[in-house]
Formats: sequence, C-alpha cells, structure tokens
Amino acid sequence: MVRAAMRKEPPFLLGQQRPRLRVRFWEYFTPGLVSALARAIEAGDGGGVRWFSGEGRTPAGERVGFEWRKGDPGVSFSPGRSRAPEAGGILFEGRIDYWTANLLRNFPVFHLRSKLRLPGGRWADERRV
Amino acid sequence: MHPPRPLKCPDCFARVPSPSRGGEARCPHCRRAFRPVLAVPGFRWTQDGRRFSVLSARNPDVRPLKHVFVFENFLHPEVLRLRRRFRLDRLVAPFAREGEFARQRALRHWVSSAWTSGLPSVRAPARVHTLHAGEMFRHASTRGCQYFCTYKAYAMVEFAAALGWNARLVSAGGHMMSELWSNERGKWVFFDSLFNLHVEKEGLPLSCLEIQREYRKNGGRDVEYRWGRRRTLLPADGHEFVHLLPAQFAWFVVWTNANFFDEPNEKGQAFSRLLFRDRHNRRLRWTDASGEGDRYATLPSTRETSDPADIDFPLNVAEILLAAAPGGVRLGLETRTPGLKRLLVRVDGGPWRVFDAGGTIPLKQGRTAIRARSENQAGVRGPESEVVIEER
Repeated sequence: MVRAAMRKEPPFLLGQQRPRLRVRFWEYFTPGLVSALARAIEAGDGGGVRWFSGEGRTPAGERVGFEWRKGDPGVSFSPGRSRAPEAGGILFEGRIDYWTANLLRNFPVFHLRSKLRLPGGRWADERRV
Repeated sequence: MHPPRPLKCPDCFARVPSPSRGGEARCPHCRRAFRPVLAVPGFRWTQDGRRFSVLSARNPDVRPLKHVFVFENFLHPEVLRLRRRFRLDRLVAPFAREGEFARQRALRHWVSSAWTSGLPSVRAPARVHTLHAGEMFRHASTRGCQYFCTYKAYAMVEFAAALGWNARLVSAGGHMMSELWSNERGKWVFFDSLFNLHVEKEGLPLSCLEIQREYRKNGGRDVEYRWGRRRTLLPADGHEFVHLLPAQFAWFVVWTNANFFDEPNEKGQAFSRLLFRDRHNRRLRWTDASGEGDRYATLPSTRETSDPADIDFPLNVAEILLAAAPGGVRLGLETRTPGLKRLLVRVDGGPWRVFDAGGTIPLKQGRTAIRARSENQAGVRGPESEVVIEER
C-alpha cells in the first residue's frame, strides 16, 4: 500500500480531509530532522498526523527507513530496510486537512521537491567588487 | 559605536547646543528656552530648592534614519480586509498569554501552512510580485497553486501588517525571508515563513544582522533553528538550508518598502534595497549555482550601508525628553512609529493616559517613574520607555 500511495502526489484543496498524505522529498535527509518532525507533531504543531513512515538517504549515501507513531518516544530508524519503494518518500496517516498537508510539505526536509531546488551558493574567490 | 546622545528640544525635538553655565538651553529651531534634564542615570539638577537625580533610564535614542523605510498603511482597506477575511485575531488569540512573539510565530506557522511551496509557473501563470496574499491563498486553496519563498515572504509581510506589525523583506543568497519588528523584545526578528523557522541564541530570537555576526564569530555554533509555533528545535546539521546559511547571511539586502498595497510592485524589482557591507564582506561577492553574481548588490536601486543602526533601528519607540519645570518636569516625547495613533504616558502605578504635549509631571518626594510608549493605528503598542527620578 505504501508503494502505491507514494507514486503520485495529488493537490490538496481547502475543505478536503484525507486519512493519508504522501510526500516526495529531496532524497538526502538526516535522521535528526525527521526526529524533529516527530517532536513537532507530538507537541501539537503537526495537525492530526498519527503515524508516518518513509525512507531517505543520509548524506553518507546510506538508505535508511524510518517510522513513527504518536506516543512513541522517538522515531525508529532501520538502516537499509523500509516499506517505502525508494529513498525520498514519506507517507503520513491521520486526520490530514489542507493546512496540515501544506505544513508537512513545507517542512525543511520535504519542501525540496522534484521541480524546486534551493539555489546553491558559494563564496566566490576573493574578487573585489 | 553610536555618537553620544544629543541634547534635544522637548517641544520640537531639534538638536540643541550645550546649555549655558546657568543650565539653560535655547532651541535654535523653535527659540524656546528650557532647562534640560538628561534622561541618563546620574544626571542631577536643582529645582525650587529641591534636588533631583535620574536613578535609571531605559530610553531609546530616536534619530532620523539615513535610509527611508516605508511600511504598510494599517488603515488601507485591503489590509483591514485581510484581517477580517482570514480572522487573524482568532488565529493568534490562543497564544495571547504567551506574548507577542508567540503570536507572531503563530502567524508564521499559519502562513507556512497556507499553501505548498513550489514554482508558481508549474500550476499557475502567476506573475512574480504582483499577487497579494489573499489572491495567492485563493489560487492555492481552490486550484492547488504553489508559490515559493518570495511569495511566502510577501504574504508574511502583508499578513503581519494586517495585525498591526511592521515587517520587511530580506533577500539573501537567492532566498527570500522577512523580519518582523518585535515590540515585546524591542528588536527586529528574522522569520522564514517558507521553512517556518527562526533563529535563536540562548533563547532570544535573532535579527539577520545578529545571525550574520554569529556566523562571522564562530560559524554559527551558538545559534539554534526553531520550527513552528512551539519552537521545536531543529538539528544544526539537518538540512542544506542550514549549511547554506553562513553563505546566505554573508551578505543580505533588506527591502526598504513594505507598503505593497499602497504601492504595488508591478514591475518586479522596483523597490529599493539596503545592503549591509562592511570590512568583513566588502571584498566578497555572491555567486549562485549558475555563476551569476551580485544578484542584488549591483542593482541601481540597492544602496549600501556599513552602519548597523541603519538596519537594526528601533521602531514604535518613544524617547522621553525632559526639562525642569516648577514642581516637576516638562515632558516631551519623540517617536518613530509608523502609522502612529497616539502616545501614552504613565506615572508610577497610575493608568496609561494619552500624552498631553507640554504638560508638567509633578515630582513627589522619593521616586517618580515616568513611562511612555506609542500605539499605532492597529492598536499595537510599542516597547515601554522609562525614566526613574529620585529626590535626593
């Protein structure tokens, strides 16, 4: 079910309420950010989300699955194994409305969507301007 | 370093030369003579045989800004409509007891959740910078349109104005954010309404300039990223954005116009910006991934400053100006309050009263605390100023 649900990400309109939300995100993530997301939901800032599961790739390149349920002390990480079809996807379950869907999609892990890249930047050499 | 606080006329606020040996000064502008009482701790004077001194003072120095900033008109019909239509008061009300900063975070949280970030050209033929927050929300909520950081920042500034808060856009490294003036903290606070976060150090929210200083000092080791209404701590190594912040804040530009309803930006980059450039970044230039450089710094409408006070200046403040008078002190108030409605004064534990220019405040035996603050047209009150005078 997770595999099928993550293939497509339909738009969410005001007034809609769904039991599931799938979000594609930038393939690389850090477990710390996913843990922060769980803490935020637990603190009441994540709408009606009760469970999420997904998989990402750490900056070192390792595929890591993760899962969290409301009330859990933390996110459980499973290196190399997950129910997600590929790295860079997450599935939320709960009572998800328009506001919650946007909030989750904009969370720092997930906002970097396939068609949006944060412009990379670097210091140029010490050139006088 | 700021120059020493100038002596000002309590009636017309003009700068006044030092008083004569008798302690009397004459305003070169309004020609009125007065005996200045400097609102600095330790200042002493004698009046009618009674001896007074300033015990303590929390009093901003309101100076003319070198660079003009324009904020939204709180009484603009569209601004008032935003407040009503989106029931913004109800939105932030649950956080009233936690203070203004909590209400501002609640607004940012809501703006972040108002639509999904994305390229508007993907799903909507929107022209950049021409859509107001209400229209964006309508497109997003009924057609699934997406808008990226620039739009989020615009929306944040417009919604903030609807609640009577002063906000402005900040661009850094290809990312658009905002700063809100915090009356509660008496400072500008960086807000990212796309990522729904702000930056703190030791529990205090930072401005862009302060963030820049932290990165210069030690690479931002002491700062924390806080997400959402409840300030959830984000890990410092968590995201590309975090890694980019040092470069992003190496230089940034503050937009000097925030009156998007009064003066819609229909031609894209029409607004002027202020770039902070000092010895740390004067030799550096920004390049984005495409190799393009100085996206904002080289635009003709970008001015530069090396004075932090030009950017992190206080707002909604009232400076207490005093002159000795029979039985007490004559009070003048100078303010920098966009959309000023009125000035308020409170003596000791009494009620806040509307400031009456030229009035005298009697000084009793012991201590007298004079407090002042401004209120804007949206009913938002600025930080309190206070001068405590003691009869010696």
